[in-house]
Amino acid sequence: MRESERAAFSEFVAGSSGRLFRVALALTGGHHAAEDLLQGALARTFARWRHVHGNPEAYVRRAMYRAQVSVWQRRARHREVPLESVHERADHRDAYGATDHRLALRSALLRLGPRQRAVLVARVLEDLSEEETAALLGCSPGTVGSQLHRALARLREIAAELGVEREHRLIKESLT
Amino acid sequence: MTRLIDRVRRDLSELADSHPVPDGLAERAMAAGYRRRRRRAALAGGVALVAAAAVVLPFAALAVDRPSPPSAGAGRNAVFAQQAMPTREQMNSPDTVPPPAWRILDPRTGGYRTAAVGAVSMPSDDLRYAVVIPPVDDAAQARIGRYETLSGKIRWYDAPPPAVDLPQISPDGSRAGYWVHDPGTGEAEMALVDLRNGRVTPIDVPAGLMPERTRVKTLRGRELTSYALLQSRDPFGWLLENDRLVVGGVILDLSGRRTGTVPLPEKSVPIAVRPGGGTLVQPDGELGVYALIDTTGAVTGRVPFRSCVTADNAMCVDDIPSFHGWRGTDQILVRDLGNSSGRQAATILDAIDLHTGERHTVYVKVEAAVGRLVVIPADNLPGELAADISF
Repeated sequence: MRESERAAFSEFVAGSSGRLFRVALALTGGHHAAEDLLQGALARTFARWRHVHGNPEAYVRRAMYRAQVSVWQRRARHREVPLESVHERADHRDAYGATDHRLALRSALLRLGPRQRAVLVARVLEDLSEEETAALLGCSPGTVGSQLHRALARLREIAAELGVEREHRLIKESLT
Repeated sequence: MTRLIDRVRRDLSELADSHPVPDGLAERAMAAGYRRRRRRAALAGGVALVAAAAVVLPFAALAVDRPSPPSAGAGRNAVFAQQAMPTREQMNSPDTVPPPAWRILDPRTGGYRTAAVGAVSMPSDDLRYAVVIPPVDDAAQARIGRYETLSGKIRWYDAPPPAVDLPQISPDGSRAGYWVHDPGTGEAEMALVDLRNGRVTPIDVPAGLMPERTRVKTLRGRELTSYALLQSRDPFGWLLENDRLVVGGVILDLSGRRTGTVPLPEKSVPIAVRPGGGTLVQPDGELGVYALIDTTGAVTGRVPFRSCVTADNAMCVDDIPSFHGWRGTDQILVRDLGNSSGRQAATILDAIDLHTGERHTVYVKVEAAVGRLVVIPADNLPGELAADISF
């Protein structure tokens, strides 16, 4: 790999890592897992740097999405999804306020399956169309639509569950 | 529904902004990228030391006492040798390659024997012999071995140390050919070893096929040792036959004398020489294309490998799969290195029809988790065995 290619790659990472890390964070829910995901995708891109034409950011993005929904690559990171760390940052005095609702929803997001979360990130955060999301994930637009529908339905269920559980726990704590 | 989506959008945005970008991403990615390239080169280098047999000899030489039924392996393949899969710890270790252990087919029983060798060639036509090279961490590097498939014995010959782990054996099993590296000139050359008497003949090869020099580290016992290796960019672009050597479009006799050329498009890169005629090439400037060239130089098949993302920032990537072998008369076996992931990939290949471009997945039959594979056409296997182990 020539020095000029290393320089071009470094420049590319410097210019795009902010946007890519945001997506990685949304996909994984934790900064360690996000860093692993992004770095793996960047390493793959660097290994094929000579063969990447056009905008390499799309290549990295696609690599992240596909790695996230790939069973093998996800397994190593799965343990790192910090569900509990979300609760650790909760403000317990704000039991019935916006913070708890937000944390409940965020916990619910993290409890979605990787494919459903990937569809949500692509469609909702990145605002991609069904066709673009399908191309990114390597599935049909119909699958994207059905996954989004199920993801939102599941979110409603989980968020409601978490809200009730939390409410019960806080009441119990206040009584003891 | 709309309100929930808005809340999800807001939460995802907050989550996405919850941590700053870590430092040193590019440097770490480049280091990991280099490791990935090295592993890929090592895998691609020996994953399938394949060239299909030019002459189909009867399998009776194996002295099996059952009658040989008609071939059940036409258009199918079998695993001749498989490298034992490294552990997850070895795979995750940044600078090591796993110690070698290969399982090699006994063509009489269909079982596999384990051999501690660095790499295994495809077998001779009668499936009795293959060439093996010493493990990379072996102290006695200056030798090459002839492996007997029926007994598992290896006969070692004193010879220049192999520089690229891609040996070949002539179809009649009488000669071994492999790359060596002259440290004085820095040039790569080929060594031919007569397996009947051990005589070594150095062969000057055409310029332009210089393998890439690299350095790898491996565990020897508990010590980490470093070795220089050459890795050919075009591992299958040469073929040793009974009476000639085809290298980079040039035909040489076994004394190294140039006797002819193979008609290839200008500047194309030979990927694999097809026994009996024809060459698979990568045309000049077309990284993501394989083309089949017949003996007259005409293009008789052409398959592009290109995948595109159609998002806003659309781009395309040339996928350059690793050639694994010929499948029947019209197809090749490839593994898509770019889209494969980890240890599953060695057992999944794609069969591609070079004329129609039709592509389908082939599941390789292996004993256990494997790394590199040597895949052969199943034509020479006895019918019952071919039916059992071919894919």
